[in-house]
Amino acid sequence: MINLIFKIASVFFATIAVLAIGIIIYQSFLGTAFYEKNLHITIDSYLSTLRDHDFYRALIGSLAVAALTLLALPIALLAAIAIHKIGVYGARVIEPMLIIPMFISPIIWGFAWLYSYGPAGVFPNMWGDIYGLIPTGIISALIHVPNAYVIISTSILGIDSSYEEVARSHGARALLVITRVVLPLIRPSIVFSAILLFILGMEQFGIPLLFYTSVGGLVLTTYIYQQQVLSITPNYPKEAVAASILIYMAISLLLLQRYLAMRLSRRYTVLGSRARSIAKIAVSPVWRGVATAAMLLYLILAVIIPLASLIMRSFNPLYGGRGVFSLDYYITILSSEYHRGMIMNTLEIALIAASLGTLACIGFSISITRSRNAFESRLFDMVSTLPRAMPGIVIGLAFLWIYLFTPLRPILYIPLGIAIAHVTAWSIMGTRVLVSSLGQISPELEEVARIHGANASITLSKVVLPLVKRAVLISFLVMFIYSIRDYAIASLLVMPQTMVVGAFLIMSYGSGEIGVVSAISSMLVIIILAITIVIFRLGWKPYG
Amino acid sequence: MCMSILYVSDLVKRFGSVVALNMDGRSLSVEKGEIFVVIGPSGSGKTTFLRCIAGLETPNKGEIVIGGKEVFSYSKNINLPPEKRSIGYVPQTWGLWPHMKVWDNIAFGLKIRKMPREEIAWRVRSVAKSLKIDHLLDRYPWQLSGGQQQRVSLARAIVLEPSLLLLDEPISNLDAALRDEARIWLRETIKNLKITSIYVTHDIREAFALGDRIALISDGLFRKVGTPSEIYRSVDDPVLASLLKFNIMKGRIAGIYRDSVEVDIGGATIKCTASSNLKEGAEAIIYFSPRDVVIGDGDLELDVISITFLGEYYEVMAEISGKMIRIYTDRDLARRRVKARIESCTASNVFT
Repeated sequence: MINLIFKIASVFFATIAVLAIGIIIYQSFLGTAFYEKNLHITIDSYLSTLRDHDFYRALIGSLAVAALTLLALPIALLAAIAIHKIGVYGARVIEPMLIIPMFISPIIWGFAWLYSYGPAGVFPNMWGDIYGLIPTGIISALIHVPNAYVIISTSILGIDSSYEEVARSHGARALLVITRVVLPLIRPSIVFSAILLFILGMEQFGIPLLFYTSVGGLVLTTYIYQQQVLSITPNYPKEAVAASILIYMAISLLLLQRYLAMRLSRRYTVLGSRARSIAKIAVSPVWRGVATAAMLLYLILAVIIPLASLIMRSFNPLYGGRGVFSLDYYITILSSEYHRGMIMNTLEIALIAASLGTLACIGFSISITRSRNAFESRLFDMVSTLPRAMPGIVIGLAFLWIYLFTPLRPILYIPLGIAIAHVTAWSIMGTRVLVSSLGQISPELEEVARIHGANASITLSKVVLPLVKRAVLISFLVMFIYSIRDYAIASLLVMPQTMVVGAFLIMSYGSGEIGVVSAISSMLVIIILAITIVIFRLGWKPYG
Repeated sequence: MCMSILYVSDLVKRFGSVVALNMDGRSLSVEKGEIFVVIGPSGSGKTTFLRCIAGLETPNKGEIVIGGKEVFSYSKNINLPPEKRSIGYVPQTWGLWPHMKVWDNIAFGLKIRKMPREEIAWRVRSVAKSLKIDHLLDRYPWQLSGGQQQRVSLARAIVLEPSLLLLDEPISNLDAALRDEARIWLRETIKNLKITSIYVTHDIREAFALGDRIALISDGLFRKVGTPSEIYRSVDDPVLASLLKFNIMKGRIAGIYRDSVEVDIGGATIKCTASSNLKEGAEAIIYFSPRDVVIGDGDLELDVISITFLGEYYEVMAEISGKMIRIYTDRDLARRRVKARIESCTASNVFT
């Protein structure tokens, strides 16, 4: 029974997601560690954590980084208008360059920025001191531009050009059309992007760790990391309170987003059943040239130079980025059993996570789109989204506790342990792809199969899955990418025998192994770029 | 229980608090080889009826027997899944699986039944030949025209030799020109194969052309069941009247005779046949076809409001005693006020 397998996978991961969020919140209401005897529910941990000076600093740090991450919004907005409405030259090349960085992990971006504009970078201190709260926030903003760009693009492409054409023929100039017609119509997507950016900024771990901790700064994620990993006796209640507060804030923001989506959708609905026509606003070639130049300048400074510096550094043993070309670092990595094992672990975990994750995604998406029981459909929709409210570090913490103090302990020492946490965190990504793909299949195709003799399992395997096989493959690859780019979850779950690249990068921070770090990061970037290109080729659309 | 192919009784289907189908206290049977057309406006419950028979919806009450086998019984807690009901199905958009060639589409149900390969090949070929699609077996559905797709969908359903064939507006997606041809072809094909069929549509012309019997459904209730001519001759229902574009007028019974009644429509009286027990002085509704208004002589005075040339005839909108009626005539009317009479009409006291 093939559908039973999907059902079991989805129920298992739904249960474990609830368990993960539950254990964190449960622990936050206990005075002592949850594995001790004589437990009782209390808010003492909240009170004592709120009196902790470091916690305050971390909270304020998180909010500040989140607020600064909002700087991504104007850049994303201008980029979306430049590409979809003004029509920059070479948009086919420029747009993927804008979107693909989304798949590269923040920790690798961190090293890329460090090796480009850091004190020992290719362009040393070009923008001044790269450490501190403000640089942390700005870098966090720059690496999250794609996340806002895809939301705003969806919205811009949803506007029928007749709105703009009418404004144009009634005498409005191009700029006026953009400010008076386009911008007001996409206002909801600007609000959504802002909320998303705030959540992403608050959950940021790698960037603050690299650029803020070194100057003594704290954010909630690094606070949790320090409490768990760097202190001799982890204070469970305190970690749980900090993690819970992150969860509460994320859940409130996600609920706000849902509420606004429901309220605003009526006021701003511009989509009719009629086919839309989407056209650029006619502007002079000079303005298109200016927009193209601005886009290129942004991409060169914020994407190409950092990534190129990272890759250059991996081929260059000399400090400062100018010197002889050498493959030494790559040879070191490939000849070291430790590093080779680490790369193999990363790929193995990604393979397990992508395979299990695909089963879960299919299970979730079928329950969401095909369940005849409205409650079941809603429940799976909600539960699969739940981990979105948990930053990687919090998911790592939850799984560490689940594994340490339940009979599941043995899997902490094998790749499956990290893989299960990865599936829980990111099955929503694949589920979304499959839900939209399943939504396009007319129910009649399945009904005919049922009536003509196929039971539910045969209908699924012979009709439904073959029709969404591309989406299944895309889900698999997306899960694979998210697994190999992970560093936050692994940083808490990793054991010597399950060491992965992401956790290694976190641990190598400050170790001086710049060459090895840059070479491993470069290898990861290349793998991610290759898979991303395949995903694009398969017809994956980031928006629209 | 009778020897019919389909027997349905007391079927009720609710969606939340909305009753989509209500056959409580009623039963319906379809005889072997019969084409039974269910007609109704959109949202009337006709598709719900079809889906309940197919097993795609679970009724809240009642029973369904197909080919002598009880497939659903609320009281006995029987509910066979769709695949166990021995049914063929042609959905509105034909439901051809785009990833399978025509051959695999048709052979699907046979393969599931684990028939020997030679028999599958023989059956697919003979059905394809009889439906004149044997040259298309190696193509994908998207390489076919609408008419061809509809044939493939029918082939896929009848290759299983089902006890009952369900057709859900299968020709509504075709162009108007193809539709007339498809209607004739479909009736001939189904009749030749002697397959008992339930055909759901909202197009009255389709219903008349295809059905051995027609059932009118609206608001989830079966209002009339009869042969096409019985149905056409007794239009006394507002839903049926609007499907047929009949005129509906309110009036008062002015006189009752042996085989007719006189209805006062405010200023003029019209002679109609009575469809139900009417009392003198009572309110009544009269129904008449736009073709049954003869212009030129008669007691009625009409004010012509608009005239539209529709090619074969003129559609005239005219006012009579302050009410608008539709008339089809072959004459081009120039005058604003004309005399007319209504040749045939039905009076009824049904208010819906």
